[in-house]
Amino acid sequence: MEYVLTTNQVVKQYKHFKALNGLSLHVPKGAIYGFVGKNGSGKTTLIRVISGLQRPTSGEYSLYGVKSTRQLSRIRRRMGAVVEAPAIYGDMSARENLKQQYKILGMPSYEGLDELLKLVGLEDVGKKKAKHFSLGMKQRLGIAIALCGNPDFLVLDEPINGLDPQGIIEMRELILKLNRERQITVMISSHILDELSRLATHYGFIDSGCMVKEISAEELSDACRKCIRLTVNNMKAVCMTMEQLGLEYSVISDEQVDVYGEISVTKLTMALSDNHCEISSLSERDESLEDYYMNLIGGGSHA
Amino acid sequence: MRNLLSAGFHRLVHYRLFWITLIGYVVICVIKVVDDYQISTDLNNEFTIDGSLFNMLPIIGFFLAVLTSIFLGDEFRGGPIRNKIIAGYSRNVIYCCNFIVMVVAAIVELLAGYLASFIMGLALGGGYSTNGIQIVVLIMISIGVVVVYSALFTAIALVLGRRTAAVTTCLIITGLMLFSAILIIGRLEAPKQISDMYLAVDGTVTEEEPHDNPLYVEGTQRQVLTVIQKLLPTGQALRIVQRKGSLDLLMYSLIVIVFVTSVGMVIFYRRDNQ
Repeated sequence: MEYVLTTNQVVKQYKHFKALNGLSLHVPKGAIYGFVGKNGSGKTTLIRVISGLQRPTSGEYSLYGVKSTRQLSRIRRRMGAVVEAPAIYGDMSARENLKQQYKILGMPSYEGLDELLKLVGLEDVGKKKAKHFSLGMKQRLGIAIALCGNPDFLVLDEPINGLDPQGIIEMRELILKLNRERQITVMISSHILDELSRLATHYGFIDSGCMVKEISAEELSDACRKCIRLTVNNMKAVCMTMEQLGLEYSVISDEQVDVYGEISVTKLTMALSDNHCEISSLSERDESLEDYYMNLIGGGSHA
Repeated sequence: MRNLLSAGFHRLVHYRLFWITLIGYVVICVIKVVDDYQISTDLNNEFTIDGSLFNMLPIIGFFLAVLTSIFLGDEFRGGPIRNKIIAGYSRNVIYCCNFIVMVVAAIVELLAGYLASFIMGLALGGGYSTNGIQIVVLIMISIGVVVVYSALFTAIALVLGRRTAAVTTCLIITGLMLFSAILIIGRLEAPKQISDMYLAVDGTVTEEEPHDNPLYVEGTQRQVLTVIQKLLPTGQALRIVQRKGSLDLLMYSLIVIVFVTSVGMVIFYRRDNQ
């Protein structure tokens, strides 16, 4: 598999605190890589390191297979990044901000500027200064700036934080569009798991500066077990029935229970009925990304 | 580097505060020329253009402190400096480009002030009391002075990385430098000997024999104060106001520029950016 970004045992230490503790990560080409972790787990620190804003204390990373510091500066032109807040000049309009970035990159003309504004939905903002933009507009302008040099790798740090529902939908559509239509590899750090599960093709789970697991969306789907959730009136009878049938189950509440494995619903309902237990509802459920994450990392205070 | 400079100048030209500080400095220079003209007229003295030309130089530091710290502070405030690093520019190149842009801005403000003072002086019929070569020398030294200011303020803004902190620090340092320069020049210009004078009730004035001035500094202390005065941009500016100064002051400016810029670049290179 071809990787856009790989990190190998990267450590970033601030005095006695290790923000990154031997982190190894692999972002495949063409993927939407969901970088998942609690607040303070080291997501933004890694993004700062790969963006060149900070230097790792030890370890190495490569972009498009390039490792040397000097060449990394050059190769970074192929990537765009929005690190935490979007990097924009508040006293300039969206168009002026893009012009400024075109100049920084030494692009010969402003060709494609209108297309970029249209892509991020800012074609109609006119001369309005960026400091008066909503958070969603600022995020989109930040992405437009990151896209100025036609990068094929885009790094977005918490892009949906603070956005309203409409803004979240627009951001999701934009990221999918960039990935599918422009073949841009996207790495998104987030702790909003529900939203990430709608986008990501690959996941990296990080905790306390260490990579806990890297997994593709397909593998995750296979790993997430299916179950049937029952709402019943006699939990004691349910437990007895499950033991009799040899089924794995977990009691959710006094009335709800999840039953795992390949189950014949007819047999199950008849067995429960024989034990004088009535089923008031029954639904099929998939283990969500959130459940998977909680099982993997454990329920921390900020998760 | 050329791209970064082009981007920097493009931003400067569209930066409102640049024009506000430039126009503000020009207006103050013109007001000072008119004020000098009125004083000369009132005292029946000859009004000269060169006598007013350099009078506002000591305060240009305040204008440059505000402009440089806010202009460069904005790079950190919204985070656009990150775009430059991600775009592959080294920190040293980013530092140098910012410094060059601020130097050009400072020289433009200085020369705009001179031009406005000259035109106003000419309009008021002013003559000259200093020869042309000395005026050119003073203008060159004053360019050195504003480059020192730019080096200092660029270093502070890029090392601190916070706009408000940079503005406050730059203004305080400028004030302290001006205050120090006034004190130092005051000590250096103190006469070696003084004589006490007494005014009697009947109006007669008695002057005592001259004796040594306790505030007069000499020896090593005098040499040290002289060097400090020459190293301080405010010290040089106050000398230029007196129309004193030779090209050796440019060497002192160069020393400060190289030192401050080197230290600033090293710290900026090492710092982690958010």
